[in-house]
Amino acid sequence: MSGIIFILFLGVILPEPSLLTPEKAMKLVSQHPRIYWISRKLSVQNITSSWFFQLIPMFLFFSIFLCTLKRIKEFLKTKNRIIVPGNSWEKIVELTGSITLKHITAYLEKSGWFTAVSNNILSASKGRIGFLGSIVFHAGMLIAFAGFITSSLYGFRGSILFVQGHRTGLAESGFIRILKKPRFNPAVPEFFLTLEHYAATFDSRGTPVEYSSSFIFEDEDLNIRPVKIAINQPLKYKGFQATLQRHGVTPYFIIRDRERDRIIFDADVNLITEGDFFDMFNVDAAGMTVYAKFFPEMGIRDGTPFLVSREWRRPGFLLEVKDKNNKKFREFFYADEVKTLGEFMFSVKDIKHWVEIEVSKDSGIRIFITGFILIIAGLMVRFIDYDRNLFIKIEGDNLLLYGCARYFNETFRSEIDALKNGIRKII
Amino acid sequence: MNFFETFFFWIGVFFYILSFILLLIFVIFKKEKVSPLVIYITSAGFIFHTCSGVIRWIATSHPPVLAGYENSLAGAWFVILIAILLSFRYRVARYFLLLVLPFSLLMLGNGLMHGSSYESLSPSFKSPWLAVHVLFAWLAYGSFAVASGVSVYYILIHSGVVGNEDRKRGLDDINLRLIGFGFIAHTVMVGAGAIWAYGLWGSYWSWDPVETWSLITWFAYGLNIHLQLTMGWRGLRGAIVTVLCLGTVIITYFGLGLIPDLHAGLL
Repeated sequence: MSGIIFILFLGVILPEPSLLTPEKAMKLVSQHPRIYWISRKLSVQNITSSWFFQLIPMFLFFSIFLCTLKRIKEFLKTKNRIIVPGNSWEKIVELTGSITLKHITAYLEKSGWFTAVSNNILSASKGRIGFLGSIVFHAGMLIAFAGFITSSLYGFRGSILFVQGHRTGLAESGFIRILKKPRFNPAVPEFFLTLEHYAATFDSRGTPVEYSSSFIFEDEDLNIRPVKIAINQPLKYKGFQATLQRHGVTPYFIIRDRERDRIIFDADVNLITEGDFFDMFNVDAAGMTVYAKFFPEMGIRDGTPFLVSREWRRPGFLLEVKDKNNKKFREFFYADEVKTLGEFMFSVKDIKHWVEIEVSKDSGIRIFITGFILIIAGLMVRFIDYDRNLFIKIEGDNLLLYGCARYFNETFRSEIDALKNGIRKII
Repeated sequence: MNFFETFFFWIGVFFYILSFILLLIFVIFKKEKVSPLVIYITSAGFIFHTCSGVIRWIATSHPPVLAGYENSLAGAWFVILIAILLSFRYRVARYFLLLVLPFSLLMLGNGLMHGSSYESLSPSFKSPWLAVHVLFAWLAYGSFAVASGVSVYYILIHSGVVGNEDRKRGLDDINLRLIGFGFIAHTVMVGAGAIWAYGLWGSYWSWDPVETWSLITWFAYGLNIHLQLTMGWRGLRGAIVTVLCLGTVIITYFGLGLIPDLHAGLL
């Protein structure tokens, strides 16, 4: 456990490159290349997928496994578990009648104590159910581990990019990224999705309140139905689920060479539209790189474009173009305008949405959650029914007792007081 | 923040500060008489703190669950609630406020620095698992914070700064119970988060910084329980381990929002 804590600690204090926005990642690369390099090498994602890290949980797994076996053996061995006792006898009462240890035993057993008499000393114990709780807790840990292992062996995670109006199948080639492949399971079931519409809704302060995408879904038997995939509302099909992950815009750019009077670029470009990030694409025919930033509603103040709102009212672009001679041009224009940048004329034919959907299947999650439920149940039982022992003997005319608990001694002291009163009553 | 929310918030903070000053007087000048007052003044502050939270809940139409100010407001509320409940159950528990109050005040201050303007719940937060996840996170971190308060008090008695040795009786039990309760709540929080994450991100565990820190916290407190129950690290050693473990909670809690992570937002 200490090993896991230490290694995770190393990784987590550094920035996680895979979770940085493209803009922040580029900034880190340019300003602190060494930190970026160390972050990549020591990132939690990297560490946790390395063989040495996976070896540590294996040790923990075996340790817990052996611990569980030891506890089961101990549990089955005896009902009356005696923990290492202290020894401070105290008098409960002076005996007046013909009371024997048998009477006390009957009373204690009625109160749920396991008892045994040896050398004229009555020993009683409680906490057997609690001890079972400890076994359940450890078993829960093992099951949660098994969930992780199942996930890594049978799990699938991959992302597909859908452009509005395009029909895309879930064949392996359609995935832009496959994060996890099942080692023993068959591939993703065949189904097709066509992105019909994507909508982002914002409140009066500009905070997004809903992202949702409407698809036409076709299954293997060519049954067609409309489906909605929104945040926290995945599409579920044959044990797989499709979750909405990212979105952006796909303008159809037309770039015309003014001198030669010919179109050098006309295609859909899927742009990432996160914050102030400039996404880029290359125009190979002209050796040109275009950096583009999209404004759903663009305003112009003092000759500078700005974001009025994130609602699609009057979209516009801010472009930075670097031509083959490394000459830079910067210009902004509304989507319905034609703009000249150096030797080229830029226009946008139409703008569509794109969304990234993650298709995943995780057979391990149910096992993992079952493990967690057992962990919780085991712990609760362990804390409620803790190990405690009572020892009672008759010495002359006195009935003597001492008790000890493995923990919660103060709570046990009140229980002993209640027991003393009960014993006094039967006497 | 509207006027009434601000008003109740600052009155609450005032009572917490007053209560903390009284506790300091008790510790420094050994004035035993001030200690009963502390719990009543803290309770008064807690009532105003509650009012401030309720007003915010009504104004935003969602429970205070967003990172930054709302998390701090609710987090501190839970920490103080647990401390007050314990104080009514165990007389000795009012002294735990010695750590609980400055910790809560720091939480509130940290939250205020993030800005307290009203915000809608982002789409990723609109899940029935949010309530379970956040509620148990607060219960867990609240219990861990109060357990550290218990431990600090134990260490102070042990080193002869406050009280006498008799006061140590039962502190061990309270510490272990709080850690056990917090650990169970933390486990529920992680489990609920995993289910939520599966529907949201397609994976129940993504090793993002907040997840990793919560796992570190879980392991740290698991180790703490193991040391106390199996290895018999009770008393001073148990108290020191509990105080050290709080470090993981502080990083998970205060680090939230400082590092880029999946919890910061989805789209």
